[in-house]
Amino acid sequence: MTIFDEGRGREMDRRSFMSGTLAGAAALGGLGPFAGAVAQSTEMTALMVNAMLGPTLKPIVEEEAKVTIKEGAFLSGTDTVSRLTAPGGARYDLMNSSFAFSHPVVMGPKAGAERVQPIDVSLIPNMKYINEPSKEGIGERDGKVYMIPHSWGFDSILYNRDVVPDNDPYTQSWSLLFEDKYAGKIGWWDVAHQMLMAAGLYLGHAEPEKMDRNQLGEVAKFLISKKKNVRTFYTTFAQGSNLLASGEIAVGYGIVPMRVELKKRGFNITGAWPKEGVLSLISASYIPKDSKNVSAAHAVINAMLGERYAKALSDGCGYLSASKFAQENLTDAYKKEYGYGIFDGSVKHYQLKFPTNMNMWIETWSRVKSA
Amino acid sequence: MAAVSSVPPRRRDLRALLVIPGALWLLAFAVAPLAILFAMSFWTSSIFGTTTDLTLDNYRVIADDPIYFQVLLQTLRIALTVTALSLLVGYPMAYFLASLRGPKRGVFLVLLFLPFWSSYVVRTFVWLPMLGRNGLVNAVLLQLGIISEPLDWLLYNEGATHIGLVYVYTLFMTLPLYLSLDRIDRNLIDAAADLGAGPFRAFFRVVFPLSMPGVLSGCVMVFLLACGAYVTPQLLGGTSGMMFGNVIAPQYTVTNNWALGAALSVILVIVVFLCLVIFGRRVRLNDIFIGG
Repeated sequence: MTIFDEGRGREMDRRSFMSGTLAGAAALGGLGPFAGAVAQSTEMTALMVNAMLGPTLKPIVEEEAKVTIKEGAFLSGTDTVSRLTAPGGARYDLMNSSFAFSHPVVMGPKAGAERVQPIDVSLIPNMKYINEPSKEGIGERDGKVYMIPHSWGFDSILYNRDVVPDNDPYTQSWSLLFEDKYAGKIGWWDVAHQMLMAAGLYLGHAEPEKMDRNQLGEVAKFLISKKKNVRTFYTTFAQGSNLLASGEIAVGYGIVPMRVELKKRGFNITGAWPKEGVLSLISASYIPKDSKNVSAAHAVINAMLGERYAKALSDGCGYLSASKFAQENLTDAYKKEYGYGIFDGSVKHYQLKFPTNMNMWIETWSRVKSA
Repeated sequence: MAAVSSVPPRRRDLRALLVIPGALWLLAFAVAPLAILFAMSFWTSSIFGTTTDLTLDNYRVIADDPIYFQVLLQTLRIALTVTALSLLVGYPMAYFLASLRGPKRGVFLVLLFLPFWSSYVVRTFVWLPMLGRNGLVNAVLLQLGIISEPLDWLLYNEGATHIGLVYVYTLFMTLPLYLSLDRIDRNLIDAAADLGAGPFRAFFRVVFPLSMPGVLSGCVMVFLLACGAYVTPQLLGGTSGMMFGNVIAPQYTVTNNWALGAALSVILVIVVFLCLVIFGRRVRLNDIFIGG
């Protein structure tokens, strides 16, 4: 006899339950491949900023390209190129990330070292509509095209206007993201490239991507000294948006789609236009070598340069289409709101470029985070 | 021993075959991944990919930068505190469960398990609306007039990491404790009472020592799990409640530095293994893993 003598004899019940659960899971697992095979015919996979295929945009692309798109969860440009080079292959039919940042990785150091396959431009008739500034985002080598731009985006500081007034001089600079005035209300995006670029620009580096070890050390020292002002890091755009929406932070590093989405949901959130320049990017598409649906990938690239998608893009997610169609009949207020000044030079911007020594950047950011 | 030797040699040989599935499972899912991890820690990674070029650079990077050592120490400290707190929370619960009889015990066991039917991430995430600036706790305190401004320190710090980890790992402490307490012979308590021991003395001299296998088992499990925690410190820890898992994970998921991630993982495995060895010198492994 034991003091706590009940509860015996339940072992079989628990085991039965467990084995039943496992059997159910196995049965479902067994159905998985079959279900996948059934739905495969026009399906393709894509990895890009998810907002580019938001609720108003994805149907346009799917309709025009006559495909069903399965999206991966986009984390950052760094993550995207990491996946491209990961052991085992990219496992996406189409990928899309910042041109200037991704170009060295995507194209490789020399001819033949490209990590993607050439794009058959005859299947992209809408390519002729790419506007002049965006042509810089075409990745070519030896007459072959490997990267095709489809939009512009930019990163800036998002802030809650209920806490930070628009006329606060801090909103005119990246200082808003670092300095003490809004201590405890700031969120940093947990990505080495963007955070060090922003800090580098703020600290006066004309070409932050070329910072050497000592300069990076100085930036790290600065960031560590300002970490006390930071409430938390966030790893995904959704997490950052939630932090802003819930009032946990009032200031945070953010991409345009975050601002647009929060505004749509009624939050008094806007983006700053720092005098050092917003961090801009030309979003370019490329087709990994192991793409299993190359024709669908081409069709999607073409659809994303088409008139319908181009005209819906800014309202849909805040990005600026690389297509000439997008800028027809826009009001000045609309252009100002979405930053179309990037095209005519009236909005100061600096492109997110690939750092000279990316590994050193990653080490530096790890040090900042861990300090 | 006597039972084993009484089995005819041929049958004994056949019984040895039963070890094969388990051994294969261990080989495939424990030994092989660890071996790959170990090998990878000497490979070369960059944003352009990982190659099998052998190097000691990953360990050099870790040795050169004291930050990694500091985060490792912080991780062990947090894991220890979480283990102690889980024991404090789990013991009374286990004692209460073990003292119940009949259907009541089943009901309370289900209640204990109920939150664990949802995913780990959801269970961690639930603390955000509870402890946040505009969360439940602040709302109640404001409503009661106890505070005039929301408290910021409830979330995004080491304390929040502790709360989250204790919550998600308490079950791993409570179950072995419950099993251990459930096995204690009631006659021993009665005998202690007959010999003049009060309830407290009987608990500390009889029940607690006899529940030690459960205590050890729970503590080791919680400690091991807490050492490898990633999601909870990521979601609740803010800038100060980071743990070693938060240094390892981005090497794989963000920066493509698999080799450095592997080297960091190897170090964590070795440190945790050493902790187990040191612990194992004081208690038998059997006591730890099967609750005595």
